[in-house]
Amino acid sequence: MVWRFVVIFAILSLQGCVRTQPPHNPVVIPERKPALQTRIAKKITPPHVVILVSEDIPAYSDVAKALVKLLGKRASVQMLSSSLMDNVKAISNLKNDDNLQVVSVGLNASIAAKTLTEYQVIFCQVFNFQDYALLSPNHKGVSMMTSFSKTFSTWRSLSINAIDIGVISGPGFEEVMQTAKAAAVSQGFRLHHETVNSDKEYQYAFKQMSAKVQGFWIIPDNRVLSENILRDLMTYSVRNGKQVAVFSDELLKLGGLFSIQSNYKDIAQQVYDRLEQAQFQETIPGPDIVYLEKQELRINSVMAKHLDVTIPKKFRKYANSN
Amino acid sequence: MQTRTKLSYLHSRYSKAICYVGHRFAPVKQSKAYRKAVDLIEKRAPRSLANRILALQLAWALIIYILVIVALWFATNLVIESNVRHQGEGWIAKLDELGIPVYASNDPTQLADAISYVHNFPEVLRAQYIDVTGKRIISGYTRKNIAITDFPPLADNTIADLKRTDLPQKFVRFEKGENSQMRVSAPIWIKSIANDGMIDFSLTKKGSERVETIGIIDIVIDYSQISSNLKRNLAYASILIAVMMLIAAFIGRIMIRWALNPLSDLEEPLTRLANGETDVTVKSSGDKEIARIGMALNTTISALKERDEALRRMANHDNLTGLVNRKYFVEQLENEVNRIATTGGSSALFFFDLDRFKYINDTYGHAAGDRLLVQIATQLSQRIRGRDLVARFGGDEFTLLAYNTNLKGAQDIAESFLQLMRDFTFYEAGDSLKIYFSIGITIIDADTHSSHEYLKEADTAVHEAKSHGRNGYKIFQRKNADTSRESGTGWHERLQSVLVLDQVIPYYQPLTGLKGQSMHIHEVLLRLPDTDQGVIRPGAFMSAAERFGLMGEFDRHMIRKVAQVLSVQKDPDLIFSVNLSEQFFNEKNAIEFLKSIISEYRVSPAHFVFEISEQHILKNIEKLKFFIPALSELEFRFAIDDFCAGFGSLNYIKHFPVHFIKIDSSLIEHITEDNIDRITVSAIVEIAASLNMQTIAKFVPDQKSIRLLKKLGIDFAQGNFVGEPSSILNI
Repeated sequence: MVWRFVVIFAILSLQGCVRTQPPHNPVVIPERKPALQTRIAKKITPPHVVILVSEDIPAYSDVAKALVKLLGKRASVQMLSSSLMDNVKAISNLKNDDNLQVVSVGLNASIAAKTLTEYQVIFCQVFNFQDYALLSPNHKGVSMMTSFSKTFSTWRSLSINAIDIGVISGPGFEEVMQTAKAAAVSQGFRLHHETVNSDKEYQYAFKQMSAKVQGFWIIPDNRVLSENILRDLMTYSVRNGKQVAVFSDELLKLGGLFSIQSNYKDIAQQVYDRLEQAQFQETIPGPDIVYLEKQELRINSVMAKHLDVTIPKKFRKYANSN
Repeated sequence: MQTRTKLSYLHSRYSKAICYVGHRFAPVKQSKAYRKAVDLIEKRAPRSLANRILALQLAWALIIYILVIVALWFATNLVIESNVRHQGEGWIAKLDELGIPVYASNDPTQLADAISYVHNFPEVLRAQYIDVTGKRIISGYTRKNIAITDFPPLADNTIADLKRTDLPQKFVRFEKGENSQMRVSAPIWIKSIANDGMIDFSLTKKGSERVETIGIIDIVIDYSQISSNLKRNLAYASILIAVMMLIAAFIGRIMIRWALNPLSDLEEPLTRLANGETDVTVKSSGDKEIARIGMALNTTISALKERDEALRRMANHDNLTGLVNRKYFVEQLENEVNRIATTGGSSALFFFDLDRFKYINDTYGHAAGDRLLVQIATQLSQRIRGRDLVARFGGDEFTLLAYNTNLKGAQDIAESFLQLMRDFTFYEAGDSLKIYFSIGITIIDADTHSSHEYLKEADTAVHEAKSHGRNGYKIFQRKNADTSRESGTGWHERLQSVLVLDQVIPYYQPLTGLKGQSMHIHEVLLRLPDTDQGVIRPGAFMSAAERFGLMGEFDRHMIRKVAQVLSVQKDPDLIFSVNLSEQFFNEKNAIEFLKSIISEYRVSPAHFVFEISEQHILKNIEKLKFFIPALSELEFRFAIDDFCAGFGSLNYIKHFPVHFIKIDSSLIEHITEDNIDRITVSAIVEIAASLNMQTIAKFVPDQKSIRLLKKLGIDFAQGNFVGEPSSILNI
């Protein structure tokens, strides 16, 4: 009976995943059953941590290795595949373990981990978690993005005169953008946000917004970005002298001013911290998403020169000539 | 009845119309240009080389022109279609871009704004946004009241094709309609990077994007304006190219003509050459090829000149004597007659007739005759004045045209020629022979005579000279001429007249049998009546009769006369020996004529002996091989006349069934004194006897000769001593 329930729940969850229109309302997480509370109460030793890795790529496996290093013998790594059904089957065995915490690295692992409603799940390396309703009191995450304050602080250091910054995202980012706007204001920026549904809308909105902003902040929303659009936007920005903050070094080659990327050790540390905080707790404490404290900064010195941006001395070590 | 009237009326109108058209076009038909055109078509006048080359060039140019125009047409159409497709893709891309708000907002105002874009392009007849189910969201038209019937709504399978996202590029569908319209349909794609695409983001990573079709853009393009512009421009271009080609052809014609000028220069001398002129020189300088042709032509012209000269010489000169011939002489005579008729003055025409030529010919053979003619020609040529013209007129007749000569001068010339002949001796076969002329003269003055009439006058005069004793000359008296002409004098008319009036007179000369034969043989000799009641001997007219082709007819008359006598005389031993001319036995119906005579007069052929001279036998041996046996079968008999007069072989006589051999007078005249003649006659008698032939001795001069001939075995003797020719038959 339990097995059937798990499968049905997984299918329903999957259906939720493929929706193009992300839910506007937060996912309603059912309250814990009494049996579960009894089980948690019985915990006396630190729980075992299963690290579910979506794919064996450096971006995921390096995070997993760093976590294993932090957790020691408590951790075990389980590599998953791209097939959701296989992944659900693979993790169903975990339900026999009462004293367990789960870390899902990457989207596939995180979607599969949604079925583990009885356990605390910390996901990471997932950007558009809203689309897949990954958040619940017992399922929380570590953001891919670095702290907005640090991002805008860096930007301000580079560009004293820039005021209006544009950012475009897919649906479901309204709350995140409120946080971002606050961070921007703190650095003297006005953040203009537009929500779009496709890459073409992104392109359209980008060009519409271009008149009123001095820079663009391109966040890694895969739903509304495509390669062609990214190239077009970067070309457009270069031609129009716009400062562009990007999420990948790759885009620096196309004309981005600076990029801020996450550090996998920082991700692992944030996950570890959340696991530690959640031990012996009924739910995972803290915000749904915690942002990364550390960042890897890269500055395109050519674009900086082109945009008449003076790179502060403290950032010169991050400058390159891409 | 009405129908018939109508038909009659129509026929009348139709005929009038034809007459009218014919009448109207008559001046055109008479025009030079019309005739030239007709000549050109009917005669197929040869085209010039320049025109042929030009025509070839034009033909090629026309083919290339057509190919170019066709190629241009297709290429331009392809370019236009390609451009329209390209433009269509551009408009689609723009509408794709503009359509984003449409799909994003579903706002009707946004839709209208997007679709209004096409209003800037009149080529776009219609643009419409379609959702993925094929349902039209909005459409816009650039022109009012337009109905696009060629392009119905997209079919489901078409939409399915357009929605495909598994292709590397969008599937853009082009559908060509009529009237230069094209429909372009393309999907609207949105793309997004894969879910985990932002992890380890790379722009070079393939297959990391998701594609979704969110709608379809469908536009109809009307490029008829472009097509019509193209057609117009193409027409202008065609005309321009055609004009350029015509100019090029015109220039080409000039250049070809210039290049072919050396060839054209050949035309004039070649035309002159074709017209018979050989005094032509072709330019043999300039271009190498033309120079070669020129040299070759000059060589050919030289050869032609030589040949022409030889032909002219052959045509105008007598082969034997080298003097000009009758034809050329008559031409020159005509020229002189015309000159005198125009400018006045006088010249003299001489007609020479050798008096003893037949004798020489018969006695010494043709070769001797020929030698005599050559020597006479030389004598005449040496005696004439520088500009005078002497000709061999035929046979033994010579003519002389003495220019600018009056009667006195003519007499002097005649005297000088007579003196010439008196001084001249012909040596032949060891004999010295005196040869004389009879000369007839007529004066060519401002009279209105033709050359033919002057020749007749001279001929008449020579006849008169002969009839008045040979070795003299006679000047034609114009005062008697009228009478002469009226009476038909002149040999041709005279001989014709004799034949027509049947005035032939037979003279009979008897032959005496030296062996007591019972048969009475008479040779029948031809005489013509003379104006002064005498007769004319054959020597006077024979050559003329032969020249005019009348000898055969004279023979017929003589045979008929003999047949008439035989039909009356019933003497079974009476035999007539008749001379046959060459012209007679060469007539096709000679045998039939003789048969008809026998039949008509009921006489036996055995009464006839036909004499054919040895000379004629030798000359016509093939003909006579048939003629003599055919008549011998009918019991006609033959004699070889003048036997041994020439150099004939004795061998031929055995091939002919002849019955008599008439030994030539040259062997008989001096037989009593000449042993060789005697031995020869003896041999002939012996041969004749062995061939069962009888022998006749001609010109027996005396009784001594008769005795000798009898002793030698001769069968018959003939001569004036034996019996003179007489018009009366004495039996």
